[in-house]
Amino acid sequence: MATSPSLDEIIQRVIAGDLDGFTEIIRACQRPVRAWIVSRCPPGGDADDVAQQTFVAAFKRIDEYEVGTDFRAWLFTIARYQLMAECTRLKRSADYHSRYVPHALSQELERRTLGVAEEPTRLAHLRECLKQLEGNARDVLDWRYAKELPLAEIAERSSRSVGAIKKHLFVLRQKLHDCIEKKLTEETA
Amino acid sequence: MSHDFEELWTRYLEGELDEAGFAALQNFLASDSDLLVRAGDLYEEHRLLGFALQPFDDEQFVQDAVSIVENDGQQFIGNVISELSREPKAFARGAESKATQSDPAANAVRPFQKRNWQQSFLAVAVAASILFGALAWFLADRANEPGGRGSIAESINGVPVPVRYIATVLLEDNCNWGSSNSPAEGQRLSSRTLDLKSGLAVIRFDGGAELVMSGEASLRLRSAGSAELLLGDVVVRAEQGAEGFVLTTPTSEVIDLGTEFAVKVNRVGDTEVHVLDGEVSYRPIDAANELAKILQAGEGIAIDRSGLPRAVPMDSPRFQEFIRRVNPRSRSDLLTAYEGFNYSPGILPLEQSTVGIGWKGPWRKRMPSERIQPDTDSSPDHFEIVHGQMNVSWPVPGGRLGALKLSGGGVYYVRPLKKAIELDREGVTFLSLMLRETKRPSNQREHKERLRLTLRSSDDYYGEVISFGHGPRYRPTVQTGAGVWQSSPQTLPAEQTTLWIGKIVSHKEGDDEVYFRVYGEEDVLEYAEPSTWHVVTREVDLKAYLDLVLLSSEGTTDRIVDELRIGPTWRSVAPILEKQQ
Repeated sequence: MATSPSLDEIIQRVIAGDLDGFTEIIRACQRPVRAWIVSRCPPGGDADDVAQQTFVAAFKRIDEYEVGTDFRAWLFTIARYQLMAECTRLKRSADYHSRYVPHALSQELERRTLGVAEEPTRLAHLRECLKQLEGNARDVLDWRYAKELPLAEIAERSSRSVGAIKKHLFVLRQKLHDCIEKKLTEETA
Repeated sequence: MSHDFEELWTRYLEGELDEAGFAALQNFLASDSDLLVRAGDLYEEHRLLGFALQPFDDEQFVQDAVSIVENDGQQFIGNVISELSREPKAFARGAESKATQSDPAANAVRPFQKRNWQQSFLAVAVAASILFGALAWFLADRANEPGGRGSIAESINGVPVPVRYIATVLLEDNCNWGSSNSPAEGQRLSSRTLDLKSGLAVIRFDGGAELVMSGEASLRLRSAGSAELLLGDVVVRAEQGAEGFVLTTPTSEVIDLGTEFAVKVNRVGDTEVHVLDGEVSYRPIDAANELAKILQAGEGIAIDRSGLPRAVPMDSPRFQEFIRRVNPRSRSDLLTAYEGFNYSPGILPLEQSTVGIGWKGPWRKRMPSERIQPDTDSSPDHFEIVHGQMNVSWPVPGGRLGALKLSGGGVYYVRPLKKAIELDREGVTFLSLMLRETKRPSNQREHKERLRLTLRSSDDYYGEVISFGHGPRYRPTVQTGAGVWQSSPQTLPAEQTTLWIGKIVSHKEGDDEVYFRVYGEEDVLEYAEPSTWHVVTREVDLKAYLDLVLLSSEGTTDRIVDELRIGPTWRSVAPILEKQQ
């Protein structure tokens, strides 16, 4: 992504000592950076903490950034290294792979972390796909993800069994996945 | 997609999977690469659903990040000023240096306070320019410190960037290192070159690979998952999870694919690769990645300076063979403090608790000035010594000759150390304690059971501390004062003898590292520290001078403690089983 002139101007101000400018940088970049970290952060990791450390590290190294080049790519590279450090820390916890994440999935997530770091394309498609869900389906997802209600409470609210809610969630996730894949395919075509 | 996978995956995302479920899911994913990629997508989408739907205070995030940056800058300047205010030789503890120790509250998570950025950093800039000359002396002095394990790698905008540690020295045997900056067992290593003249050393990279180097060898550590062998023989063992370790030599690049392999480099850079188990990918150093070839177990290859590979007979001892030959032994001779409670059974007045090594005096109760949190104290004026009440499954003599029984209530005993643990300098300290839980109450919320081994400072008792223990939920926990604590999600094994082992890696600059692991009766201790711990701290930066040991027991149940050990290496505190020669 090309750096907008205004962002470069802000960065130059930060390098020159205007530290209010750094607040503006965080404000402008935190959502895509957080989204990428959240999508790649393995279970047990603190994505928001990794995101904060990313901005702290970026500030400390801001004079290494070459004005005029792709600032967001530079920032995402820092995010990648911060996330890799978090992964290493997690793997040193006892029984990590038998309690948090199967080993194969852990490796798959690490492989993805090594790839291009950028705002996840899936996020934009996910938002679009969510709009296609209606009524009870959207309620269940909101209870599960927005309010983080226990499955038992979701079951009670929707007068169904916990098993039925689990099944419903699986179906919804599959539906969203298929919708996202379709949009990705269309995008590529 | 099978129904079984659907069931497992849903339970996984809902946090309901037990260990058997994890194993089953692992089998599914490991055996089907398409399914694995799909699971990766589903995981990402699951996380993004949370991101998209959960309310999040963006502005609070911005302000918190800004606050951290601001505090970092100010804390650094404060630290430099404190250091510069000392005599150069006063890095050893002195009255003045104690006065400059950081405020314990500095380590607490601070609530966001918006300040004027320009004012703050103008002050920093002025301070930095005034300090420039003195800072140069400061850094040079630090770089020349004997055995000074790099504390500052580089300086950006006048702010030193802490070294990134990538590996740990697991074992040293008769090592003669080529430089004065000799690594020691337990030491954390940053990117640097290790020149071994003779002996044997084992290094564990943070990525998981372990490497044994023996004889004359020169190894450049590059990252948590890579190194460059310049000269000599090494054997690399990269078990599950550590695959992908890269070892380069002057003529080749070897990538581990989940295996054990040996690499030998002679003085002109010619390289031999021998695969002991699994397989590796190798290629001449100047060849394109596509030209990499696979070498299988039992095969060997030699690559000379011209880059031409030729087959050679596989010829190398295995990793474990090196360890077996060394036969790592306990180094209890290195202990800096030891308390085995080796007294006759019965009542022992505190003033008579004088045995052990490395103590300034006997155990005592907390003094009135120390009796604040909590302010009640039911500690008797005597110890109750018991014999034979530990179930000791490790090779230690303790637990049979004498142990301390801590009764229920709130009991607190303090003993001063001769050799303090100084957190404002580079160092490694290991601690261990054996204890037996006699009963675990069923209603844990009501009973508030706590047991801790805490290191405190006599000059600032309620300042920075390092505490190992458990709280009412029986989870291994490390506390570092000012309310900062980090816990394991795992629960301690109930009503059995456990062995607690802690490791403190103090750095002059940057985060200190504190590790804590609890071993149950069934657990075997290896010759070196484990690759995984129950608690691994982060963002802990302490400067305290810890010269007191505090044993505290709260709740309703009795506990028996024994074999308190403090030493510089794993082998000095851990009861390891030596192999019979």
